[in-house]
Amino acid sequence: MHFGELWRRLSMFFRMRQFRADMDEELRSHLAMKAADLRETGVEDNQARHAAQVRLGNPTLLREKSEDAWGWTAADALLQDLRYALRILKKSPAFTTTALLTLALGIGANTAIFSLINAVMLRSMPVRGPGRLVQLAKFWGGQRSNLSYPLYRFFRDHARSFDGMLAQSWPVEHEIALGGAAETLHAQMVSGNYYQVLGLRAAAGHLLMQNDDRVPGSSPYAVISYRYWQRRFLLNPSVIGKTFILNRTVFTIIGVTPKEFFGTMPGHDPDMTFPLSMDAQVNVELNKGKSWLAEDHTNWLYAIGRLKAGISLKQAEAESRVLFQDRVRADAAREKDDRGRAAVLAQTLSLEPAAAGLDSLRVRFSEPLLFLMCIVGLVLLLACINLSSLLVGRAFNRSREVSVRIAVGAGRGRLVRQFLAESFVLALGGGVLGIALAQLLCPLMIALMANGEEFVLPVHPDLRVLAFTAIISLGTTVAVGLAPALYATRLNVTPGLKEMRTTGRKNVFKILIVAQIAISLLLLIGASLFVRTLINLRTLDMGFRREGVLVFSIDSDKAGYRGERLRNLQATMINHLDAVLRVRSASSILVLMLSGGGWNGAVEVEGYTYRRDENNQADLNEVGPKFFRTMGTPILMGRDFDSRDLPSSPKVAIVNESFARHYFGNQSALGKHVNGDVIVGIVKDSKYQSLRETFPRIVYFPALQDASPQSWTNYLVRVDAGQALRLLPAVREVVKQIDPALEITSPTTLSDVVDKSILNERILASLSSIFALIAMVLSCFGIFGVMSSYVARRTNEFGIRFALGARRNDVLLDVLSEVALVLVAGVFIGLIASVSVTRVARGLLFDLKPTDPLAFAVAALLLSGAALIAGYLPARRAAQIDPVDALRAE
Amino acid sequence: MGSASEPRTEIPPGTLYMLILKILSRGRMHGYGIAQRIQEVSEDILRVEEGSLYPALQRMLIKGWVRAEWGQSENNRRARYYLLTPAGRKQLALELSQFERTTYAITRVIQLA
Repeated sequence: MHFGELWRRLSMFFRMRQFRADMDEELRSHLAMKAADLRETGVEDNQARHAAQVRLGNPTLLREKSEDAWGWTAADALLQDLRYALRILKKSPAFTTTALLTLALGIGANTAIFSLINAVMLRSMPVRGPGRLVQLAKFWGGQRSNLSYPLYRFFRDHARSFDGMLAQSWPVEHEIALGGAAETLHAQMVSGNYYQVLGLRAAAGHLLMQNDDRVPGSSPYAVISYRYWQRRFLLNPSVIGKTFILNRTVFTIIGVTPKEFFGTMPGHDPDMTFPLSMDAQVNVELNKGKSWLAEDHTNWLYAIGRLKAGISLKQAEAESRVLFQDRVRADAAREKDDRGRAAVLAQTLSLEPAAAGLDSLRVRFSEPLLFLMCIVGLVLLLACINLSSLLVGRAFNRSREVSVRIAVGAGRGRLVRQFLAESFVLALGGGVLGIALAQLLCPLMIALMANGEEFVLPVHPDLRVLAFTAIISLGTTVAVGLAPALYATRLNVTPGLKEMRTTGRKNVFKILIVAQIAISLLLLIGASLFVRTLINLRTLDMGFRREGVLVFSIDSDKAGYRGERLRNLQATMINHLDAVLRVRSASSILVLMLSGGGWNGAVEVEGYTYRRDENNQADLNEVGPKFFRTMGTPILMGRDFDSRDLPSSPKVAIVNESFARHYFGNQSALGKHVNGDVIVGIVKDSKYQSLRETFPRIVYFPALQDASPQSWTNYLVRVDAGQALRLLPAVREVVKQIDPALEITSPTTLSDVVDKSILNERILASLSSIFALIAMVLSCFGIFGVMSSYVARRTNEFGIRFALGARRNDVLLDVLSEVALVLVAGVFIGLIASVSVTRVARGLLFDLKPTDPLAFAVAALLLSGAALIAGYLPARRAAQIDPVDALRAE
Repeated sequence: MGSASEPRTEIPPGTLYMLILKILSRGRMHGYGIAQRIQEVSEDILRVEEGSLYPALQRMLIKGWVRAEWGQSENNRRARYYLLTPAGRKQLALELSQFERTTYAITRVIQLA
């Protein structure tokens, strides 16, 4: 369309009133001129005017036809429809409020979940050209593995497909001394080119540069995040140049990252970044003073490359793989034996898009989030159907009005639009409220996902979220409004005017109720499957008793404990903890089970020869004296570790059942050697890395025989009874008595650790239950509403029946059988839908078939019970009708 | 109104704009005048229905071929006058040349086929 034309049309829209007045006057003057001309030819005045009018026809019609040319008639009619809809809705505030709240909940929940999906999976990082960023994903025997610093440098310097490649570590907590006070913050080590590769500019000062990476230990600089700047320094620009102390090294703050940048690991927002070259100074504890920069076998870095213009991900991947294979082959050649070579060669490399950042969150949360999306989607659909049935009821009550409008010539299309306008107003209101509600729900969800850990996710609604909400609101409009609109316009004019009952009405209601029951059942079945999964995981035999165990670490490293002193400290700790009142037993473990960590290694077992292709790895752990007693893990043969197992005494080990069975079959494992240590005990199997795993083969070594004990060991304290955390003050006291310089860090309970490991299952079980219950309540309200109006309509009939001698129970059963009919149909459809749908959730279930009969039965019974109660209330009212009153009211 | 019974020729589709533009090319005119003029000049053969005339004038306003202004009619009545714009003049030239080409072609077909 020509611009001038568009402008003229637009300006006309705002001068519609003027236009109509002009047009009317123009036609009047036309008539007058015509009449005058006729008079001149001798026609009488009256006749002339009449003839002119006949000639012109209906002036209003002519005006409307002229108006049509401007193309605003439809828009104008729409405005009228909306105004009318608002008026109608204002007349029934109770209905409108209920409808708005229902939709706000449905749309809000959808918007909230979508915001999270957007933040976790869809949104690109606010960096230059995020689409060109790719992650180097290394896999070792199918498991994701990080890169060592030398490997990263190798790629950075040799791969030609990239315009730059950055590396970063996992963000960890550090304690710094700033302005005389100690504080804890999250910091990440990044390559000097980190900010250049991302294409970021400092919000203040300047960011790290390539040179900050060159010489180890030469760049004691830190870049802080915008949020840390705001929180700690109130955005004061004088922060640039401030110094702080970290592990005896003085660092200088040189710059602040942009406000919208939250790092490249979704979920984390590191307060600070240091150059990798400062690794030895920053990570004193972790590395034991040794820099990891030279370590070939320490895989601690994540690498992201920026593709060169014109190079595709596939091309870059092909090049990187060739480079990687060369290097892997060179590494393999240095290994002593076949097995070592095979292990090295089991590494592969691929490139993955990294526009949204590294994928750790995607991997962890995408599946439960997508399931939640489906769940809240169904809840919204149910809410729409629910409202739809209410609107059909209102449409029926308005059938007289509708009939009148049809009788006076309103088009059916116009009537459909009128009803859609009503649902549009509701959906619009629901959408706006929903966005507001989502702003409240998102932080709750994030807190749930964080589970007490550091978890930062920017979820402000962006264009994509708003577009999503707009689309589902429009969908809601149609879903809510179409059924009543079509139903109302099917009404016949005459019966409507005569206030007679129309047929077909009951069927619409029944279909809508059946649909609600079916959807509720599907949601309830999903929820009970997730709840049963959670119960299965919680009650399974994990090989230890999780209740009543306090877990904590101490910062022995900072207090200067190393080597033998550290080992003695650990022995003293356990002895002293044992003596605390109400403590049954205390011990320690290096890699805490179910905490996300793991430790495995090759094992040589006396009298056992591996097949060529057999995996020689077993899970390993290092535990203190009386560990199995403390954990409640039964010792099947032999003994627990105890104070006899010292560095000077013979090296010993304890293995679990699975290990013994695999390596020794029916023979006794006691007295045999594993990696040179003699096996002194066989214990019951227990879970190590996850509750879902089959029991792994585990070898335990005594902590007190370790030549180089670790400072990050976990102390375990089993209490006699009650809450383990209640013992914390007493334990703190013990630690202070041993050495006032020691502090307890990250105290928790074993139960919490186990719960954390099944976070997704807990989120799914709780949220799916909440939404399923909401759905059930909604559909019960639906049943209640429909049955109430059913009873109200038939009051007269029931009155007659009572007058003719019908018994109360007959009428009660009559109404209830109506409910039972839709209930059976809905449950049947819901069951069929569930059988075919729940399969997709198989991966999230545990020890449970997706068609678990118990879950299905519980859901169906719960729903049926609720539906019958909802139907019973109106049925009872029907049974209590007074025939005299009923007939008199007629 | 004797003319009602006389045989009347519908204005060929698409030519109404051209006729209106042509009438207006001689000066401003109101809607009634335009209809009268077409009828007079065509010796009563062509008659414009008001039902087509006014919507057509609206479309021409949208296209920007004509402008409207209120003025005083011959017998001192307020009337809305339509005027050609430069774009309307261009459009008239375009329509005329197209019409002539078409007429010429049709005439040839009728005479020679």
